[in-house]
Amino acid sequence: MSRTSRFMRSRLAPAVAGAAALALIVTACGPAGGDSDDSTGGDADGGATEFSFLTITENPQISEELTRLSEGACADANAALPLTIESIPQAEVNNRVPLLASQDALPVMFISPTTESKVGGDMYESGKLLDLEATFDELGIMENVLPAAAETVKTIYGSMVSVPFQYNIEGFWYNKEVFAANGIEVPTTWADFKEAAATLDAAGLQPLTAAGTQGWTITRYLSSYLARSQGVDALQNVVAGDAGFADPEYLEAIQEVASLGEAGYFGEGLTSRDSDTMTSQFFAGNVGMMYNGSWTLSSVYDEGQNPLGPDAFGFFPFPEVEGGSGSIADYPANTGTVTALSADLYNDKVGDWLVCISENYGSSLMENQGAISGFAQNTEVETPELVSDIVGQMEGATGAVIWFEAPFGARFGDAAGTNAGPLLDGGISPEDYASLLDEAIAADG
Amino acid sequence: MRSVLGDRKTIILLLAPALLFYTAIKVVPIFWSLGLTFFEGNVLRGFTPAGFANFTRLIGDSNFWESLTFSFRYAAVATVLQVSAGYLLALLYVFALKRSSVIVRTICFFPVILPTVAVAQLFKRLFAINPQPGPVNALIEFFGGQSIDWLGDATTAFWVFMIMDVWKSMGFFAVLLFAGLVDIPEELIESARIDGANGLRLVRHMIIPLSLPVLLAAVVFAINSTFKVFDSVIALTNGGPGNDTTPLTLYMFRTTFTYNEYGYGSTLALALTVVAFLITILVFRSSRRDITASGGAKK
Repeated sequence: MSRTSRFMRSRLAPAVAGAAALALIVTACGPAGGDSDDSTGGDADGGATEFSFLTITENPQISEELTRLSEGACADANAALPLTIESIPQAEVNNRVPLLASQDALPVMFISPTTESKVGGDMYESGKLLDLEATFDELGIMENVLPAAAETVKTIYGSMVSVPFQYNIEGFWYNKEVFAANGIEVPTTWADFKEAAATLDAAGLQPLTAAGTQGWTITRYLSSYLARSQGVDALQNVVAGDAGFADPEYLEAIQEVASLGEAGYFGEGLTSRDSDTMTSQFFAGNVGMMYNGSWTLSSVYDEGQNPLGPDAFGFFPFPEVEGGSGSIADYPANTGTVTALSADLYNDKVGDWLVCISENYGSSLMENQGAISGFAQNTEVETPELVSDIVGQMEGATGAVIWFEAPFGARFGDAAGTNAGPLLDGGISPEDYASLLDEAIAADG
Repeated sequence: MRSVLGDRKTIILLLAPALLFYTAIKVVPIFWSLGLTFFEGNVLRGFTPAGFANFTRLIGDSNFWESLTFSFRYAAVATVLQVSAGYLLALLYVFALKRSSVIVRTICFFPVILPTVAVAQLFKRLFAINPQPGPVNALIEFFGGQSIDWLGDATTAFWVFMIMDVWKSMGFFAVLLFAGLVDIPEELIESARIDGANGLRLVRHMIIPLSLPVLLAAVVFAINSTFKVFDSVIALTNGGPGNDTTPLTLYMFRTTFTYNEYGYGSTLALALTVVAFLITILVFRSSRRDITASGGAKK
């Protein structure tokens, strides 16, 4: 071997090794796909190349119905812009969606964090959310949206940021047979309600169920009680600084709800109970009443979940609080989790999807899942009795009650939800719970 | 090979990619995070300078102190239990089972390789109260007791964490400590036995001092992993009931990614780093003192 080639080897070998190692790292750290545009689902003009939907694992209702539409009524829209669905746990929405937004990597349609999607919230103010009112007007499909549903979206979020895939009212589901067997009438006042619970308890039945791991199943009692006792503006008065949760009339709501837990009406293991267990307890006939939304209809009509059949259950509104300024005709209403669209990825093909959804979703959801959406039913669908009853209650609603966490920030939602279970099982006193809420409001700013 | 590895340029070239990689994914984010402690905002809203406001807030934040206290309590109890259980197992391997310990070692090591979330789900079912009582509550009911909502109470939830942690990690510490124990010369143990040291006396005066370095390494490992506990908490209690089982790591994560306060989240991360650093220094200093003490005794 010559001196030159030995020199070349001794010099070149490490250089080549180093370069190869660097190349390996650069390759490993690079994007998985060749075209970085792919990650955002964008075409050359920045519009969507697929109808990508990021949804939550806990609620497959929307994704199931969209899949059904993509194979039927919306097949043309799907051929032009194929539907793709990705699911994440609800608990990850607050973390992942803002990060995706900051990286310009949002899908076409996505579940967006509630607090951040309101006017003034970071998602809304970033301009990433499509103005659905303007878009629906432009597409001429606003008439396919139920006015009450559109109004509910705008009341809660300050703007039309969410597609009204659901339109729900909330109240108590009850077991008709259990009520009849114990001579209980549907309660219309809080005193009647507590008496009904006491009767069931005395009969050896569990009067109520809730899920401690899903704080909203408990905090809804608070917002509803306050709406009945202080009127539908009760929470807005707190936002405005005119009231606080430590005020006697607000504290009374917390104490009243805590007293239900203190009496043992929610059964054993409330704090660690999840929402699946809650609904399965109820449909198994072991529980008298369960606070939940009209979305439960799809479970009521699902034989797999409800072995007792739909006739075994009924629905009544949150009872009136004697002497309160609210009305029993004011219903807690919502349009489900925020389902927003990316302003950046919107194009004509996305518009075609929206037109098709607005024309068909309402009827399709009712026909296949027995659930009510915020879209008009453009095709005649046979409506079961219970559904008609709930639709009747929706139509008779005189005012909308917003849910407990809706007007507040993320810290409030966390404080209210994580401490709701302990509030009922005595782990935290009503006074301390009220303080935590007021502190969280101050921390949210 | 010697000529290649003896060349400074070669060393630099071979190390550079790894160093660059390490710098890019470790060092840069650390300094980035350090910088963020002087800002408030998030990736969507943007960042505005906040001076020392985040540090002032940290001192007055009761949630920070509560989560730090929980982290300390968790790390202290879990470390003691994990290392003790591992040490007892290692002693069992070496002195009782001897050469037939392979199967037991394998069985005890099995939980170590299981995903934490899967283990947490397993323990959730074990200690469940509904929809049906889990095996633990079923046993309590069998003996006439009343079911306990283990994960619904801060105290009982803490002990479920401890049992789960010990079950999952004792196999690892047993193997680690086993390696240290088999290194102890057989003759030393034999001579101690001849001098009349048996059982507890042998362990206390011979085995523990001779395995002290590996025991300290195990303590460092244990503190390191338990102080940073995160995934098992998320999977088992999600920090509840209330915030009673929320360690500093989870509080930091929520502050940053749920409340979108990147500046304050970074300040919490810095506090966590400083505390972890102090604990590491403390452990290493105490280990050095111990070695010096044993060296002095030999003289």
